[in-house]
Order: sequence, then C-alpha cells, then structure tokens
Amino acid sequence: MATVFFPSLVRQQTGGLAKIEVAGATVGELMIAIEARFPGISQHLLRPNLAISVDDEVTPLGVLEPVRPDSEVHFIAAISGG
Amino acid sequence: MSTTYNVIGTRPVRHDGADKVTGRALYGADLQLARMIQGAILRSPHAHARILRIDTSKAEALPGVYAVVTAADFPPAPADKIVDFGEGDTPLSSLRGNILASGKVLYSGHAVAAVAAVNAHVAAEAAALIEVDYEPLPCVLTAPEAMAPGAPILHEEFANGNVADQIRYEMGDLAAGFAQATLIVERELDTATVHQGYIEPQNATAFWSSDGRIHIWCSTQGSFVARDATAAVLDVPVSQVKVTPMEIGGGFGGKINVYLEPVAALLSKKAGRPVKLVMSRRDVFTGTGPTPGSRVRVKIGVNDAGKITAAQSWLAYEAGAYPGAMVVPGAMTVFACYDIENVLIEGFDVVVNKPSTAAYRAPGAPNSALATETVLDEIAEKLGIDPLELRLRNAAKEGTRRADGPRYKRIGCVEVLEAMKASPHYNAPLPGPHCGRGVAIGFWFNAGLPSSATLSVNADGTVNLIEGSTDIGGSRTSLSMQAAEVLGLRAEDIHPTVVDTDSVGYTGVTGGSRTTFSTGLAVHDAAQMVVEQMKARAARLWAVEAVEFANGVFSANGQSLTFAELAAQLGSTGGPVSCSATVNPKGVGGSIAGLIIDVKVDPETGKTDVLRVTSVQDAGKAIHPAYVEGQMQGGTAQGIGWALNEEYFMDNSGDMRNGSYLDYRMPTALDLPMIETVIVEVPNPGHPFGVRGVGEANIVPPLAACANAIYRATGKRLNRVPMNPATILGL
Amino acid sequence: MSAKVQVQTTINNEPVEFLCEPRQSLLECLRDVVGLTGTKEGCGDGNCGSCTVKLGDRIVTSCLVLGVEANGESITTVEGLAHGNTLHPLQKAFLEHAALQCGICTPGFLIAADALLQKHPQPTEEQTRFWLANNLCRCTGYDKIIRAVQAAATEITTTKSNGAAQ
Ligand code: FES
Ligand code: FES
Repeated sequence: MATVFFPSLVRQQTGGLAKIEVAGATVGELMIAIEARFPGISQHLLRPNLAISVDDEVTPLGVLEPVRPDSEVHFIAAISGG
Repeated sequence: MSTTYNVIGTRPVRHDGADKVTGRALYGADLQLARMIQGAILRSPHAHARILRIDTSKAEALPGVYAVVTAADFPPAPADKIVDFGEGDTPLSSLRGNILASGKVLYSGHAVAAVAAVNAHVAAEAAALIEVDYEPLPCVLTAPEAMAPGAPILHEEFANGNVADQIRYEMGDLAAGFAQATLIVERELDTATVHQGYIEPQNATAFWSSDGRIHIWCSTQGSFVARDATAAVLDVPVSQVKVTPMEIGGGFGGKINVYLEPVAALLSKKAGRPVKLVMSRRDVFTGTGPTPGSRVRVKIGVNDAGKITAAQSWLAYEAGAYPGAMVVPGAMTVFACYDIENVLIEGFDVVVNKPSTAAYRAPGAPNSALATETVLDEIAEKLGIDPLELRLRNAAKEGTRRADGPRYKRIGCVEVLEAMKASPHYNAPLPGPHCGRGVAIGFWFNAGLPSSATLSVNADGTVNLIEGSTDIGGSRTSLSMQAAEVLGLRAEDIHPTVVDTDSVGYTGVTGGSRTTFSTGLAVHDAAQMVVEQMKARAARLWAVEAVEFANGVFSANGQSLTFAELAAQLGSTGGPVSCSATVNPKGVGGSIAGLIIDVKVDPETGKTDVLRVTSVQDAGKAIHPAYVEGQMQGGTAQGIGWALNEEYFMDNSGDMRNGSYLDYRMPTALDLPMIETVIVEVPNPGHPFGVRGVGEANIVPPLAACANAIYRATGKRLNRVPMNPATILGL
Repeated sequence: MSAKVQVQTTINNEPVEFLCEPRQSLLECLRDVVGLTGTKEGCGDGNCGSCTVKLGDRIVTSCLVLGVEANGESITTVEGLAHGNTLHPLQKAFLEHAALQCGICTPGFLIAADALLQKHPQPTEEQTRFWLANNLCRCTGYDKIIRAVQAAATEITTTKSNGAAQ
C-alpha cells in the first residue's frame, strides 16, 4: 500500500495523523480512499499552490500519476523561483 | 566515467552576441511603431489610504492626451476568481489590485491611474493633473509590527489580520532532539527589503486592434505567463492576446509579474493606437516587486560529535501589499542542506504597506540561510571544528529527507563542501589584521515546468531552432549547444530564434533555473526526433532497414552521409524535416552553492572591503561553462550587495527615501574583486546531459558568508542585514 | 508643447540634423528622434551609465545632457564603434569573454571602456574598475567585463605595435 503524508497544517483534519497507508493505482485512487476516511480533506490537499510529489519527484500529472505499492506521496508547495 | 561531448562544455560565442554589442538588439523600450503614443502612470504618495475620489477631467482636457484609465476601466469580473499560472494561485482581485488600485492604496508608489498622450512628457504632465482625494490611514511597515495586536489592517477581508498564510513543517521529535544536544545556539536575524535591481526598467507596448486581438510587446521572463496574466486581468480568452517578447535587460525573478501590460492594453483600447509605457527608475523601486524583508529565528542543537540533533525555525516574511512573501520556499530551504532528524519550522506570510514582493533569485532562501549558516558558524567555533567540516558531518545526501517531506535524489552537497575545502582560497592565509574569512552554503530546488521547441533542418545542413524561452543570459546558445550535441553539429550550425506566443508551444518562464534544463530537454527531444526522421530518409535512400548515426554521420552497409549531405537530399527523399517537442518534465535536480569570502572591516568607519571571493556551485553539467560562471558571479555580486549595503530605506510614513541608484547604491566595479568560480559537476540523473540549472542557488550563501566573515574580522555577531557601517558600529 | 529647435550634429561620423524640444535629453533625441536605440536608459538620472555616449572628446551620461547642447558637437554611440562589419576589439572581447548576460549595460560599458583605453592604453585592474564604476551591471558581477576590457587593451596594443613593426 502506498504511503500518503499529510502536510503539518492539514493534520487538524486527520486528528493529528501524519501519514496513512492506502491502496490504489494512481494518486487519484488514493485520494478517493482518503476522502472516504476524512471527508472534505481533498480540498486541503488538491489545490493549485500544492504540488504532488510521488517518490520524491513533483509530478506534472497530478492525481493521474501512477503509484506503486511502496510509493510515497507528499503534498508540497508549488514553487519555481526567480 | 565522465561522458565525452563535442559541443557541451565548450564556450562558443553567443548567437545574439553581435546584435547586443552593436546596439542592434531591440529591447522593450526600443520598440517604435507607427502612430504609437506614450503613457505615464500616476502613483500614490501615501503608503496606506482610502481613495475617496478620482477626477481625471483636467488630464483628459490637456491637448495631446488620448486616454486616461483607472481601475474602473477593468471589465467586471467575479471578485473571488483564482488565476493559476502553473505555479501557485493568485486571486484576480490581488492581481488587478496591484496593477491599478481600487478602493485603497496599499503602498507609496501604488499605481492609481494611467494616461496616454502624444509623448511621454505630455503624458506625465497630464498624470499630474489627475486629482485624487485620499483619506490617509496609519501604515505598518515590518512583519513583526504587522503581526502585533492592534496593527493597521491592510485587507479587512482576511481572516487572520495581516497574516495572509501560515506554513509548518515538522519531522521527528523536537524536544527529544534538543534533549540529546550538548550545545544549543539560537539567534534571530532581520533582513531589509531589497530589489532585484535589473538595469532595464519594466516596459510594455500594447495595441488593441479593432478585431479584438491584443498584441503586447514587452520585456518579460515569460511571454506565456505575461499573456495569461494579461488575459485574466482583462477578462479575455488567452487566444485573444499575443505577446511578442523583446530582448530583456535582466529580471532575476522581478520580470515575471505583469505591471504595465494590461494598462497599456486598456489605454490602447481607448486611444485606438499602440501605447508604450516605460517605468522610471523610481517607479521600478516603488512600484515593482522587491524581495521580502524578514525576521528569522533559528535554534540548532548539536552533540559533541558535531552532529545536529534538532533544529527549529520561525520565519516571518513581509509580503508587501498582497500575499505571497516567499516564506514558503524560505521555510522549505532553511535546513535543506542538512540531514536532520528532528525539525520544526513555522512560517508566516505577512502583508505590510510596502510594494508587493516578487521573486528574486532563489526567492526566500537567502533570508533563511542567513540564520542557519550563521548559527552553524557559531556552533563550529564553540566546538572548535572547522566550519566546513561541521557542515560535512551533517550534509544532506541522496535519500536525506527534507522537512517538507520528499527525500533527495542525487544531490551535490558533499561535493560542493569538499570543493570549498580543497580550494586554493580556503587554504590561503588572510592578508592581515581586521580581516576575516566566512563560509556558507545554500540550496535551491530549481524547476521543471513546460517548454517547447521546434527544429527545422535547412538544405545547407544547418538547423533553425524556434523556442519560447526569453534569453536573459545566453540561453539561445546553451539550448543550441544541446541541439548541436545530439545532431553532431557545431553550435554555430544552429540558428535560434525566440518567438511570440502564437508561434511556439507553451513555454514557462525563464526562471527557477529551468531554461537550460527544461527547454534544453525539449530541444534534446526534438533533436532526437530529427535524427530518427533523417535516419529514415537515409534508409529510404540506401534501401536498407537500419541506419547508424554517430558524430554527425549517418551510415549503413559501408555507405555514409554527413548531416549536411543528407540535409541537402531531404527534398528528394520525402521533403523537409521539422520536429517539435513539448515537455513538462520530472527529474528536476536541485543545486547546492557555497561561498568563501574574505573581508577587511575598517574599525573606525565600519566599512567592509571585499578582498577575495570564491563561488562554488553544483551545475550538474555545465553546458556553457562561461555562462555558468557568469551566473555564479552575478548571483554572488547581488548577494554581497544585499549583505553589505542594499536596503529600502523607508521613513515612518512608508515613503522610500532612497529610490534612486545613487542612494540605493548597488555594487559597482570598484566595490568588488574578481569572483573566482569552481564548477562542481554531479550530474542530474533526470536530464540527458545531467543539467541541474545554476541561476539561483549562488545568491543564497553570500549573506551568511559575509556575516561570518565580518564576525571573524570584528568579533561581532550582527543580527541585521545590511551589515553596513551603521550596523557594524552599532549606531 | 514647446517650439522645436533645430540641432546640427555629427553622429558616428555622419552629419545628422534633428528637431527637438528644448526639454528633451540627448538620450531621448538619440533614441526617439534619431532612432538610434542602441544607447539605453536605465535610470534617467545619471546613475547607471547605460546611456553613456561620447560627446566631443569626453564621455557623458546622455540622460543628463539636453539635446540642444549637442548642437555643433560630434557624438559617438555604440552603433558607431564597429568599422562596417568588423567589430571593435572591445566588442570582440566582450563576446569572447562572455562579458554580457542580458546586454542592457553593454553599450554604455563599451563606450566608457573605449574612452578608458584611449586615455590609458594598458590600464591596471584598479584603473579599469575605477573608470567603469559609473556603469552599473547587475548581471555579471563585473569579473568578465574587467577581463574583457583588459584583453581588448592587450589586443589593441599588440596590433598597434605589430603594425608599427611592419
Ligand atoms: S540612463 Fe543615464 S545614467 Fe542611467
Ligand atoms: S549584462 Fe545585464 S546588466 Fe550588465
């Protein structure tokens, strides 16, 4: 099962839980499972200023990005620079 | 086991060079169009005030005036519309609000109205005739003051007063980590607002045609971002706007936002003529994004072995008038060079009555690295460990987890530190009394984002390259070199052109150190497609199945043709070959930079002289080493100016009192020595040539390196940047 | 709008007459009236040097000179440095030493450096830095500019002495 990490400030929605293991073939499938467990959490995670990182790389595919059973998923700030 | 290249790693003369040394290259302000008229912007004299009334009638009546616009001329749009440019979201109301104020002015210099007239002088006269009644409000100028209870509030609709956003990263067990420490050092440091300082002021020319299309010519880091932002502000479809990027006179992050483009378009619509707007230098200082001033606290605990056991940081950055203070990257990078198990980072994005901030080379990172790297210097001194050795014991490596979550892929932190340690500079003695040597390192992520390129083979064996990355420092050449490497040609055989937004696929900004990486990848992919098509032509010509291609020669069964020979035969083997690629890559490789600096501080005057500087950076692979060195030298010089002298000097009413180059005083040739460079190459596995991108990380170390050098020279740990004579003498 | 004044000059060795308002700077006249946009405006108040041109036998920041003051004078701008298609040794050196990034400061540096080399054919690093301190560059940190000027100085002196020897 893939591991999804919750950003610190989103942990208010998860009762303090920092990460969760869920099954799914894409980030989107993981999100459906997580939303079922914590209703409303998607709006805190799927935002234009958060990028999705799968296995330590920001993915331009977003929720369509495939995940492996041992994948790590993070939601990190979308930044590019100067 | 380094790969050998034919073109990559050489130093050809840039393709746009002759135009740029003879004055032929056309920058934004150089544009002349038939019937073109010129504009001027009226700016607020107040840092915070309610706009009660704007009367433009006298300006409109002045002979020679064609049009006057205010925020009332923006088309109606839902106030909560969010605009997403592929990196973060901005509410349309903020975007518009910064371009032309409505309701309130939020900083001295905030644009209020604009005029177009027969020439710039008449436009300026007319702007002065616009009557604005203000109700002045108390202003607040620093993050700590703006966060205090009872502070004047900029945006009444915000939920948390002037705190627009908050960020927190945590890992491990902070209390347990500090409990393991045998030495804990905590410091708080402030940095002043500084400006990117590009020499070319912002400019934009627009023509709103009778067919509804809007053509913009401007100096921008990203023509597509300028197009999309202009379309959003004017509430027209993106396809209605075409941006032609002119040559650009520096940006450093400051020429991503739009300021003038939509205003020029509105003026043009009213006037029925092309309208050119060019900022004065004072407008640039007071009306465009500086980089945030900040307060950063860092607390680091180490054990006797010099291993960091815990680290904590609190950061408050001044966003200026609208949210987006770069505190997020500041927080993400504050400990990014180190492998630390127990971390807590809290950041606050705070609005204040200063110009809305913009990106500036590794935005946010120099501010936070200043605190971390000076605390580490103090720890090294107290432990009696060499400061580079202390960093080596804690350096981030492949697999190290950053506080924001992800783990590093291959990263060159150890290699940069080793190169610093081995450098002749680090091993040379200091020249005399009152001298000190400081070191520091810094990290920047770099970016991917979409890029596009088209390659067309000419019958003479050369190749035209069409791309959309505006060229600020030689990217035409670093991109051409990547095409040439794949095609077995010389850099001079590629003819690069940067085109308008109608003429190439979407391309993100020239920023985030991404152009050589991302557009380079698009060029590489398009070049590989060219090779495949050319192979197919050779196969057709020779009636064979498989054709080899190496070093610019196609061959099969003992027959061979050079690239140029085959190019000459394209017409008779199926027609011209032209290939396009658009990428949106993963595989971005972050860059680590380090600085060694020697200073001499005059004990009587407090003036700091820079004696010797060595900049070290991991380029991944240096495509054009001279341009890599140039980025390192430029970022270092900017960082030294930031460290020692530059600042927005605001009076209590929020007026910038040093809004000219004379008074702002950026480094001149006389203030700096030669800047030695050491390019480290730890190839990025995410790029075919190993490119990481080198535009930004180099500005991260100088603030802290200067602070550490001044400490070694004077025995004083300063808590404020700029470390000018007044700070050093404690005045 | 005030009445226009006729100004007679020699620009880059060619006679040029133009009409300008008394309030127009020489920089504005060169760029907007004559159409020579190679000279750049970075500040308009004499502090960046990107508008540097040669007026008579001295270099000036053309944003601080009025167009009418140029009457009867000869002016050299960046457009006048090359001989036809042959670049001036300074222009060549700037390209070979990657002494420009964005290039907006380059015209001013070239004119100022040309004047330096006429006065001090082999300037020291210190002399070069001192002379060019009125020209701001925000991209390069000056390193490669100083090296390019020194390389051009050597090139010019060598060419001259070779010429003399032949
Ligand atoms: S434009 Fe004349 S000195 Fe800056
Ligand atoms: S090269 Fe950009 S200012 Fe000098």
